[in-house]
Amino acid sequence: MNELRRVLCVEDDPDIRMIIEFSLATVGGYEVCLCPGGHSALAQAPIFRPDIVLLDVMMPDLSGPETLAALRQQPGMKGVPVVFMTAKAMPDEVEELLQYGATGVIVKPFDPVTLPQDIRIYWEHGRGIFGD
Amino acid sequence: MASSVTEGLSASTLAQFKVLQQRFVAGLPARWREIEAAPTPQSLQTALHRLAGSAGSYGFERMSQCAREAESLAASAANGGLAQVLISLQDQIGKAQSMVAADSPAGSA
Repeated sequence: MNELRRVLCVEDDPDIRMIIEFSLATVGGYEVCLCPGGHSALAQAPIFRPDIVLLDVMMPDLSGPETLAALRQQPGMKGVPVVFMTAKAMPDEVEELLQYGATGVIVKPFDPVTLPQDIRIYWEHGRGIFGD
Repeated sequence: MASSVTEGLSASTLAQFKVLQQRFVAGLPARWREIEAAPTPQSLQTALHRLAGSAGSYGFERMSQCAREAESLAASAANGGLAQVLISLQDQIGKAQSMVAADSPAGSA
C-alpha cells in the first residue's frame, strides 16, 4: 500500500487555505496542493495525483459535490478518498454529504494541530471503502 | 479567547502560527465591512458562514460561535436578536485585534 503523502485541498476562502497549508504541510509534513475552486482541482488532480482530497462544500464555481462527481470520472481518481469540509454540521447535512460518495466530513472550523491525524484516519478508512 | 488550537506546537511552529493569526486578524476589518454592507440576506449569511468556518481555526472559537449564531438568525424569517449578536461579534473582532497587537513585537515593546 502507498503511504499518505499528497493532499489536494480545494477551498475558496484564502484564510482557510492558509491555515490548511500550515496544518497539513508544516504540522503534518504532507505535500499539499491548494486549489481555490473545483475547476482548478480538476486541472491539478491528474498532475498532482493526490492520495486524498480535502474538499470544501460551498464554492462559487463548482460545488463540492459537483467537483467530487467530476473527479471520480478522471483516470486514477476513482479510488482516492475524498473528505468534505463544511461549516454546516447537522446530522442530516453530514449524511447527505456522505451519500455523494465521500469518505468523511470534517467540520469547520477545524483544529490545525489535529487535522493531519484526522486526514490520516480518513485515508486509512477510505482505502477500505474505495481501494482499487 | 484561549488558543487551544496551538496546544502541542513547538516554539518555531507556534511562531509561524502567530504570523498567520496576525494575517487573519488584519483581514477582519474587511470581513466586518462585508457583513455590515451585505446587500442581501443571502450575502450576509455567506459572509457570516465564511467567518464562522475560519475564525476558530485561528484560535478565535468565540468569534466563530458568534458568527454561526448570527448566520442562523440571518437565515430565519424573524431574525430577532441578530443586531445584538452582531454587536457581540464586533466585540470579539475587537478582542482579537487587541490580543494580536499585544502579542506583536510593537505591542510588547
